[in-house]
Amino acid sequence: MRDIEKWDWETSEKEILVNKWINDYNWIEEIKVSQDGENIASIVSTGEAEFGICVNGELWDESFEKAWSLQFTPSQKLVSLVSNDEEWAVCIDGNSWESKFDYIWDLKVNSKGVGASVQVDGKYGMVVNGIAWGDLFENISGTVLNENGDSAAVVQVDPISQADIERYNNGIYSVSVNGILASEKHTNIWDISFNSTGSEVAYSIRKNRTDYSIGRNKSIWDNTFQCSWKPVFTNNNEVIAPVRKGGKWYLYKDDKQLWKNNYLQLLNLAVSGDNISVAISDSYGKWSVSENDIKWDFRCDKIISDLFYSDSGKTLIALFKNNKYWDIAVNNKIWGLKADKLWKPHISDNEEIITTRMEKDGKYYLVVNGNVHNEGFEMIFEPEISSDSSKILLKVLDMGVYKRKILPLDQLL
Amino acid sequence: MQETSTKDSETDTKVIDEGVEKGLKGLTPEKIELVINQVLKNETGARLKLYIDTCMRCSLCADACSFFLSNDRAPEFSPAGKVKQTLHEMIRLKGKVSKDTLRNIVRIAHTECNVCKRCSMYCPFGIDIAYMILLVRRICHKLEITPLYIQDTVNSHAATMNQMWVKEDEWIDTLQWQEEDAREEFENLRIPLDKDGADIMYSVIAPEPKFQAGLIYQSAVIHHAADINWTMPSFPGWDNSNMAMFTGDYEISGRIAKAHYEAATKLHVKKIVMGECGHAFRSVFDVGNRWMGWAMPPVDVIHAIEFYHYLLTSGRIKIKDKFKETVTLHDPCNISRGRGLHDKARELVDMLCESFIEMTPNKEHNYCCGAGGGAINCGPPWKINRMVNNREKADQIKRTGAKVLIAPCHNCHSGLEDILHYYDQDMEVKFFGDLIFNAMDKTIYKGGE
Repeated sequence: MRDIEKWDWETSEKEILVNKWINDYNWIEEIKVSQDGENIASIVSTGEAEFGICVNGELWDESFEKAWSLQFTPSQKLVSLVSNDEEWAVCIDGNSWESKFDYIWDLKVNSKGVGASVQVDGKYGMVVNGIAWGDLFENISGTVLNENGDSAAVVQVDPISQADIERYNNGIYSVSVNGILASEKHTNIWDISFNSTGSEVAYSIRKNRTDYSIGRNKSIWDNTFQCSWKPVFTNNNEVIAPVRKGGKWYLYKDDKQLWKNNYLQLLNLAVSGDNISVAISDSYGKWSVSENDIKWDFRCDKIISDLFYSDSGKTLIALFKNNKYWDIAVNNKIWGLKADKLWKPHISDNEEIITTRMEKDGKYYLVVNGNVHNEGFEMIFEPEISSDSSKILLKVLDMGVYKRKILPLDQLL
Repeated sequence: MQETSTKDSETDTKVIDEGVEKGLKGLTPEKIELVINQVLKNETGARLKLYIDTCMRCSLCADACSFFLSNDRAPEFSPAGKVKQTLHEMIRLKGKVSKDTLRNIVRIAHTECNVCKRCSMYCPFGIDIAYMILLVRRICHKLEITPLYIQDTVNSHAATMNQMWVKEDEWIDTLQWQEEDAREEFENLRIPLDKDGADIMYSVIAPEPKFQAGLIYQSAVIHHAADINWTMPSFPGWDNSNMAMFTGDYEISGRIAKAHYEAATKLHVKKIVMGECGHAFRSVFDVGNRWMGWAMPPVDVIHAIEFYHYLLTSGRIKIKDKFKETVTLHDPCNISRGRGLHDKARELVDMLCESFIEMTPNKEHNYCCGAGGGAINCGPPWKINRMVNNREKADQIKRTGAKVLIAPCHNCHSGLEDILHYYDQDMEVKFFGDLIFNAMDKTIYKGGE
């Protein structure tokens, strides 16, 4: 659990000398920083085919033949996929799970724990908090781990021989929820979504070579479409999805057309309460946002990569690229950042502060409410906002030194 | 005087393709008529009408087509002739096309045209004949009569987002294996997986992890020595290839391009560098992205030729010993005619090789390798026909007298190897990456030097 109030919001600056690590090890990999900024970690090479996990300069006791996908959980635990003697496991804060696998990947962390895809003797499934699915399958893709700790994936149920297009067309894929088959078999399945309680799943399907639809548990919508993208559940447990008919994209809810207007493309569906938003293309190569079927004023010519609501649903944010640069629009207002790289922002609890990080001309900068902080760094990690919205936790690498800084917002804005 | 290769035979029009036959069996006259007319009515417009009304059968496109030249100038192999036998028949008969005619149409559209667009350069009106052949393939897709092996490839794309059924763990394991092996060259070499905020995402096509993992090794050495801030995704989207684009399955084609660009935006990279593949470039730069509604690539994308050119001209990679044997260069259609990279390719050759002999015709006028447009992916049933139809290409290569043929494209590579084997030509096919890897000074670039 993120417990922001218990974090240290008083100490103005703390430092860890990262450049010292470079001398201690053969090499260090990407630096990862915990959300509270107190811990920094990296996979480090400690010898020939030997790797360790270094946290604030201290190595975990165990070393590994291979290690990758290092990341912190929301509860500040450090997780890595590790291998010794050709067996793979998840290692959390230096303690490896007893469950071992022939391979493990696609690590997912959330407030309920840790999940991943696994392969054992050529069969595939998921493992969540150390417990693997009871049934394993021919193949796995599109894994999901929800905030209740439920796992789901598209699984290949039946084996298929080379170029057996007939069997493929008849359907060899299904949805598995917590290892139990939860859908009929279809030609293809993509993009699984859970509802808020984790009791239901929705997904996009291809019924045959040309007909697409939306599946919900073991049922599918009556309508067929030319294509469909990821469905999303509303708070009222309805399913909304972008679907393509007659060469145009429409928004459908529970198998019925929802919005009056159609578009050239609909992507990144976002739902909050009664509000629904989608990244739209309404003329070729031009992109905007439509909220409840009403278009925003702004247009960009490259991509809207992220579209999301604040927890309350009052703030809608689009991360987009126009011409050469990345930028952010908040409730239809553009910040004007001209960033070379830009990350998804955080929103304060009172929704008055929105912060993120960007790269411009090789330097990384803090951004708060559209203002770019004038000090550039070698790297900035995800900034955080205090629960009273008065301070920013800035985590940076500066000349080989990691710095955890608390910046009062009144000095920034 | 034109030299003719020793092997010769006629195109076999009776090839049996299981995928086509099974598809035909399930069709009724009503379904055929319905699908053809639906596609013509709902998915075409002024562009097709203009092309159909404008073509005056002047036959200037004929000599542009290597199929026509390889088949002793038989008119049925001319581009306009191929359109006449396929799309024109569908239009003339108002969709009432027999199964036997459809069988011929599939053969012509899928295996006797590389959709290489060379003919369009010679058409006085610039008619895009490849567009019309691809429209025929779209109809074949909707009738479910696409050749077996390329359909299987598209099925792989749809299920795994890569063209060779590479499972997710196999992909990552292969990268880690190559990383480990490449530490023979540099002990601290890495293939950084999922490095958030790297400058470059390097993407490849699925045959690399499946059969040619050494190419990933070479590329890792080049990236490492050049001190590039790079990454490769561990998740689907890493494969930039797209055979659905060539079967007319535009929905899967768009989904593939979506996965590729979403991988790049998820990793917050500035640029995608693609390995040496031509059709993949066409997909990412021109076709898949546009179906999605991205008029231009939403993330900058460059082909390996542009990347290598930058590495060599910027001094990030230094060439220690130039390649000594005489080389010739095959210009892949999709990055030469499609993107104009032929001059940069020659500058690369000049930086890498001591002796170069041009293939004629060349640059944007070069003949297709004969494998392109999905032809090689139609698989074993069609291989001999492909070889017969590549006679002109074999002659063109032979005339160079070179012993080494550079082909900066996977499809071209495989197709040219088939041609050389079939026509008993003693020649080795190489990628630019092969040459750079062998010729480079394997020390790490330090900025400012």
